[in-house]
This record gives sequence, C-alpha cells and structure tokens, in this order.
Amino acid sequence: MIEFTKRRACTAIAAVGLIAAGPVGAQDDPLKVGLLLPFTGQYAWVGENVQPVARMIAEEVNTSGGIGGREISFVQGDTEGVVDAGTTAAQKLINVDNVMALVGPTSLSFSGSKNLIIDNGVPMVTPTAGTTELDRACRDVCFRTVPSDALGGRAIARAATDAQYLAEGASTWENPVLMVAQSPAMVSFLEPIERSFADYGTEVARVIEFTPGKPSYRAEVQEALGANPDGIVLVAAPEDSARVMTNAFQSGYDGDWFVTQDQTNADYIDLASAELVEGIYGLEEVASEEGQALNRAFEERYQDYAGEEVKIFGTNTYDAMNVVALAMLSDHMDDGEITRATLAEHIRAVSDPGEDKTQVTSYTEGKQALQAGEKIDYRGLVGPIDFDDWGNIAAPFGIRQVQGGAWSTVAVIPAAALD
Amino acid sequence: MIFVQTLVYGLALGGVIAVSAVGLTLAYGVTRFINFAFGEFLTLGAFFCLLLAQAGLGLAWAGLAAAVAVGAVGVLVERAFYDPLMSRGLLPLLVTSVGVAFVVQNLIRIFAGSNPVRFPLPLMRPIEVGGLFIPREQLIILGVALVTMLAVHLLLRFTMLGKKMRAVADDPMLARVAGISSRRVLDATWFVSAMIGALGGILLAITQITVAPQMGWHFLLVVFAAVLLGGIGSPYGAMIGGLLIGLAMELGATYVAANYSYAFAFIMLILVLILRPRGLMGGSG
Repeated sequence: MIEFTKRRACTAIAAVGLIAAGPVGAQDDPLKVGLLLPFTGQYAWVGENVQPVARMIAEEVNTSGGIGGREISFVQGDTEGVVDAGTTAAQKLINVDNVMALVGPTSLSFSGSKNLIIDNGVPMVTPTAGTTELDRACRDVCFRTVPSDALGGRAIARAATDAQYLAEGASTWENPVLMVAQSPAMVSFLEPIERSFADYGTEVARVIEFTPGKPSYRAEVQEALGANPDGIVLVAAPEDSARVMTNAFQSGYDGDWFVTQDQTNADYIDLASAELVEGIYGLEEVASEEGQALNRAFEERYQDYAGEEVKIFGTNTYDAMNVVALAMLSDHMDDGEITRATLAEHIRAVSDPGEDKTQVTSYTEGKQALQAGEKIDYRGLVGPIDFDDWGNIAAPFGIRQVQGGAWSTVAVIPAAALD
Repeated sequence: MIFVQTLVYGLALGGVIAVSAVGLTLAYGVTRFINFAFGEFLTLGAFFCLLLAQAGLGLAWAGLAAAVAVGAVGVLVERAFYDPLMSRGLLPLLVTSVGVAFVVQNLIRIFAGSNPVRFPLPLMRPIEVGGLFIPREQLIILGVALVTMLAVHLLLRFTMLGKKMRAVADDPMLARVAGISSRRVLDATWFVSAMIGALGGILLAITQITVAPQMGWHFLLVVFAAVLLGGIGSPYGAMIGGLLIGLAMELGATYVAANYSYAFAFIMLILVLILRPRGLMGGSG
C-alpha cells in the first residue's frame, strides 16, 4: 500500500513536472526556417553557397539570446534543382516541419512550390530566384532580395547599346547574338533581353537556346558565329558558360561577351580562366557608396566565419536572412508571438522605407533600434531592400568588366534608367 | 568547310566516348554485368588528375598516376561490392552498382564540394588551316584516344593477360580447367577497365573544361549507347561505336538541331540495332 502510494506520488510529480515543462518547452522550440534550395544535383552549389551565410546570421541571432528566447534553426529542403523534387521538399517543409519562413526557392523549382507557399501563407524570402515568373506571383508572402531577370535583362541591353555604360572607348553593339541555356532560371532572361534590345533600337541577330549540361557546345557556337556577332549575351550556369566561351575561343571568336550575375564574380574567373574572360562584361546588383563599404565588411566577416570568399548569392542571402530574422523579432515584440500570418507583415515593417524610421544594416543594429522603440528600415548589401507590392526589389545595376584578371565596375545604371 | 569542321569536332568527341566505352565493355566481357558505377571511374580519374596537377605534377604524369590509382579503386570496388554478389544473379549486381555510383558521387562531393572546378589545361588558340579551326585540345584528345585503343588492342591480341581475359570471357569454367586463375584475371580486368575509364574521364574533363561530381554519371548514357552500338562485350565494337556516336552527335547538332545531340546518338543506335540486333561487332569481340 505504501509502495503503491509512493509510486503514484512519483507518477503524479512526474506528470506535474511534464505539464509544467510543457509551455516552457514550447517557448523554447526553435524558430524553424526552411532552406528550400538544391543541395544535391547539378545545382548543389547554390545550397552550399547560401547555407553558410544563413547560418552565420542565425548564429548572430542565437548568440544574442535568440528571438524571445527561441533560437533560429534550419531545416533543409533539397529541391535538387528540379520542379518535382522542389514540390516534395516544399510540401515537407511547410506541412511536416511547419517552418515559419522559407529562404528560397530558386528559379529552377519555384513553379512547383508556388501554390504551396501561397495556399499555406508561408513567407518566403528568396535570395536566388530572379525568374520573371515571380514578378507578379503573389502579393502577400513572396519576397526576394535578388532583382527580377526582367530588370537584369533590360540593364544588359541598355549597357550594350549605350556607350556611356561600357568601358572607355568601347563601341556599342550593332549585331548582338543571344545564347540562353534552356533551364527555367535562364530562359527567364530571354524575353526581357530580346525585347529590351529592340526597345533600345538594336535587333538581336540570332537567339540560340541550348541544352544545359552538355560536354561541349561547338555546334551552338558555330551557329552563333554564323551571324557574325560583335557581341554575345550569354545566359547560362557558370559551368556551361565556361564551356561556351572556351568553345567560342577555340573557334576563333574574339568579340565581346556579356554575362549575368551568376558569372560576375571571382569564382567565374577562376572557373573559366582569367585569360579567357579578360574584357568580358558582367552584370551585378550594386549598392550605394554606403552599401559598398558594407559589402567589404561582410566579405571580411564571412571570410573569418567560413574561411572562404563570399560566393554567388552570398550577399543576397545575407539580406534575406537579416530581413527574416528582424521580421521575427519585430513580430515577437509586437505581441509576444510569431506566426506565419503576421510574419509577412513584419517583413514589410522592417524593410519599407519611411522618414520616421531608423536605417539599419544588420540584425544586431536592427535589434538595438527595435528595443529602443524605434521603427526600422533595413538597408542591404544588394540595395535598399524596399519591396514593391509584389515583393520585388529594384536595384541599380553595376556594369563590370574583367580587367587585369579581376572584375572592375565601369558604370552604374540607376534603376530609373531602366524604366 | 562547316562539314569538315564538324567532322573534326565529332571525331574528338567520339574519341572520348570510344575510350570510355572500351573500359566499360572490357569489364562486361568478363563479368557479364553492366557496371552502372563505371561513370564514377571517369569522374574519379578527372578529380585525381586535377588533384595531382594541383599538387605540382605535370598534367601528363598526373593523368597516368590518376589512371593507375583509379585502376586500384576499380579492383577494390569489385572485391568489396561485386564479388560477394557474383553468384546471386545480375539484378543484385546491377542495383548494387547504382548504389556504388551514388556513394562515390557523394564522397567526391564531400571532399571536393559541388561547385564545378576548372580542369588545369592551359587555354590554347586553335590551329587555323584554310579557315578551318582545329582546337589543340582536340588533337590531344584524339592522340590519347588512339594510343589507348592501340594499347587495348595490343593487350588483347599479344599478351598472355589479354588471352586469358578473352578465355575467361568466352568460358570461365573451361578457362579454370585450363589452369587460368579467374580471380587474377578478374582483378586484372577490373584494373584495366577502371584505368581506361579514368583516362576517358580525363579526356572528358579536357573536352568540357570543368570537372564536377556528376560528370561521369551524366556521360554514362552516351557511353552505353556506344557499347551497345558496337556490340556489347566487344572492345573493337566499342571503339567504332564511340567514334560513330560522337560523329552522329556533332553532325546532328550542326545540321538538324543542336539541342538534340543526345537524341542523334540514340537514333543511330536504334537504326543499327534494327539492322544488326547484336550491334556492329556483336559476337565477334
């Protein structure tokens, strides 16, 4: 009898303990952020480039006490860079892992996860999807810290047809050829570039779409060179771009090249070789003078953190994660709770411009300002991060050229010049 | 002029395919199963070569050392994964080889990362002959491919090992009765097969400029096409099949549609198989 009572007492104490621990446990549950990106397959490098930057910001948040005591944790959703796997990964992140927000997806798999994101109202901030499919996809929960390909394409055409945006003494292009890889992320550029060249008074002599991932592109290059181009706009993954450019070099081509943001970085020079890419033009998003100083500080910080240079989409990821983390903090400070439904509103609250707002450039700065009762306007590495009604950012574009084995900015096209 | 230019390109691509196909079909001839992890021998060859070149070895020596190293890996893979399953039928072997392929791919990804890396061949201007551009890289590829195929021919025809390999391929029981150690022949076959695969991978890396963990897996499809076209199990058939597939891909891409170059490889394969179901040299290997 005594034994029975003791046992019951122990059970009761344990039960009370568990009940008491319940709410605390819930409070300590991590804030899950889904990384909806390719981690395997041909585009695994995208996930590899994004993840460490996202983790760096999460560590900044977590070491400063988290958000309301809750740490940010990540759940990987491997899209494999294809639509089907992207849909499955989004389904799991949204409905099984119950992530609070998504970082991603890429242009490669956006079409498959679009409806899941919208129907479940999960805020997504993608640092990688420039696809024009996202231009008017959803008003409430879709955001991106990379400019639309529509703007990028227009910037390329503007620069190639207006000598003020090219290197000193360079001539504008009279007979451009457009080579585009047939993947969702690349084809998105095709129509904007072709239309924009026409808008600026120069017809594209030939458009060549090619299959990505082939070992060589000699036939495609022969077709392109058949139009006697004075410049080729090349829209493809870095690996394919290096092959196309090498094949063109081996076929005797020595005209101009214009590449997109994926190649406008030091990695691409290493991949394609400095000799091959000397003199080519590239596109990149640029920030103000203030933003350029921030970029340098970020590069140093990331080098210390990861022991490597910032890679493609690194700066976009920095902005995306800061926006997500600050929105979570703002949401928590509003009413003590963080929900998917309110998080999207707070993404706008921490990033929209305003005269009464304090401009911040990092999570730590933003946290201090929010805790001081101020409203904040996050200013990013890739621009001011002012989302339009559809979650797009408008950024000025830098026109860069490889000079002496490194990228140099030769001109900046203001966003207003692309209207 | 474009036709001749395309033939040059097609022969070089065909050389890469032919070398790889010879490696694959050699192992098939002796073991009678298709090794789906063969593409990974190509990938390993390219990565080992890259690693050794980065360590300061000349590219030619790095290529040779990489090929030998991958040959050893081939023997290890066979002993660890395939040999224990040899008596269980073809299906377990086939599925295991797919599994081995994924394991190797991901091991490469762990050590080398997923980002493509440039193969360290210097950029070379093409040789121009009367308006025809002949890339020097392609001359290297053709040269290595011809030497490799000649070496395989000499091995099979004029060495004791080659004769033993052919004997085991024809009838393993009879070969054993004749005093040939199947074990040693199997080891030698896997070594040579993987080594040639590695050379194919190095030539592929020269062709496509960059190396990446999935490069061999992606290329395996056209290698299979060449093996089937030539007659599975026939090294000479694989050589001819590889060259024909390379030519078909480049000619089709130039004169019909560049996007469907892989399709032309298989159109040619289907046409040949309709006329000769065992391939060009099937049964005569």
